[in-house]
Amino acid sequence: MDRTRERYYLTYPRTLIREPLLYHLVKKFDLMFNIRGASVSEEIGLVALEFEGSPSQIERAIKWLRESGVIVERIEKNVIE
Amino acid sequence: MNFVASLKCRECGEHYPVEPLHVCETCFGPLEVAYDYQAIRERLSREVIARRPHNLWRYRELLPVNGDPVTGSDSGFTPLLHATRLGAELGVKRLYLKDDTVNHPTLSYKDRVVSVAMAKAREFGFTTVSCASTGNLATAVAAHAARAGLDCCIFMPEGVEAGKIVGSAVYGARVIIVRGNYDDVNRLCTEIADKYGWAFVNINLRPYYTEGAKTFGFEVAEQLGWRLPDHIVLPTAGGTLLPKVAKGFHELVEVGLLAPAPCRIHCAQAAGSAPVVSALHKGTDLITPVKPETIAKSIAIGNPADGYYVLGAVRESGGWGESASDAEIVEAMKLLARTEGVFAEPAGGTTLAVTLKLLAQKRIRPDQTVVVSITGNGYKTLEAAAGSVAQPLVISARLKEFDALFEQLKQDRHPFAGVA
Repeated sequence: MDRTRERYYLTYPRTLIREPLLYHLVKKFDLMFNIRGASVSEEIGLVALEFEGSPSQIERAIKWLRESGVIVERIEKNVIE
Repeated sequence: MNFVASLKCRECGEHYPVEPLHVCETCFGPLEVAYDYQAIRERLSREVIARRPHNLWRYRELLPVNGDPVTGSDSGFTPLLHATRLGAELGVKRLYLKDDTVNHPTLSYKDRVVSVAMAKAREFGFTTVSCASTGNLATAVAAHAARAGLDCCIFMPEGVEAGKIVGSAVYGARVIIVRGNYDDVNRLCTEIADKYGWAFVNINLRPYYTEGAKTFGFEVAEQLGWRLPDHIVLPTAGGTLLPKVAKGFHELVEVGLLAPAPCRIHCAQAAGSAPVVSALHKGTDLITPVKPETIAKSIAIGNPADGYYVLGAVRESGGWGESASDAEIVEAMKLLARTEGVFAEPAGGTTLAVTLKLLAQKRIRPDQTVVVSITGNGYKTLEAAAGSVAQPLVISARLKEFDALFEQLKQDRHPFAGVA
């Protein structure tokens, strides 16, 4: 199976900061991830991480995160200028 | 001679070699070019710059290139117009327009950033340059690639106007329309940049590309007689320009070309795409992406890559941000054209409309020096103003008919009807 690595920023709104979302993510989608940076304040949680898995696993995981209320962005964010 | 020390992560400070890299492998922060400012200070002076041709390469020590640039001999050093008629309407004596409507060869500020990207593409040995764009960037990359003799491939989201495609394809660029939404185009292009050995100007060449934006600020300072204005108002889309103008101002001080002086840097966005201004107003670092809905297409970026750095630069300078509605943007475009003969694209209308707001809020005082940034030409976006200008009067080709019309205009006290 094709495996790939993709890099994302996750932004958690205040309401989700206490939820163990990444734990659920790994259980549900059998992905590897590596956190490269994180910052949690009263208002928001920001996590920079790399996922490793098949493209379809990563796609489904991102869909699930978004449905859970997390903003998921590739680290390049927008490249259309 | 090259004064680039390294690439440096903006977040964790880790250094990287000068290669086509854009992200820190450790923390994923964006990479930025770091210079040997001491060496530049010894080499560069106002006099040296004054002797050089009027293009953006006159500041080449502060740009990340080796050897001779490949394009841009007619890019940059655009006019800084003293806007006396507009200033009189607004009650501001020292009002200036930094006018990139006449930047060459493609009539927007993008000629600056693309000039630098093109030089680096050649240095790194790329043979194909690329970008994802809906307008000004596509045109600039296509034109500069043609001059540089590089192959060019432009990605556009579906639904782009036919004129935008022509504006790139005419230069020989291959245009690829990607089915899907903007997120899909973003994802595909970053994947292609990873997989293929192409120079994506604003992805793998981004640290170099963005440095070209500093020249906008260098020129403002030089054209004001090596002084900073009290205020500069800049548009924000992806967030390239504003933080780089701020960096440029700091660098001019660092290398001894300018005395330190306060300059408030203000951010202008269209109300239909104002994630950075919203964050400024809320006092947060969190930029919540939006779905853009505005006539100001060239600044309609709902999820700005460098928005965080815009916030930092604005706050550090003591500046502010405001947004303008589409109606306010068009009114400002017409005001600018009517008073100064400058036809800006809606991004220019946005900066002027925001300047009006900052004056009304007394954040800018009428006795201060103000620079309004005009980053693109209105001839490229005629549709934006088309519905809001006076409709033409139509007559037959007979003098009698004109005589009657003239009488009518006289009664209406139209200025050119000879009414004293």
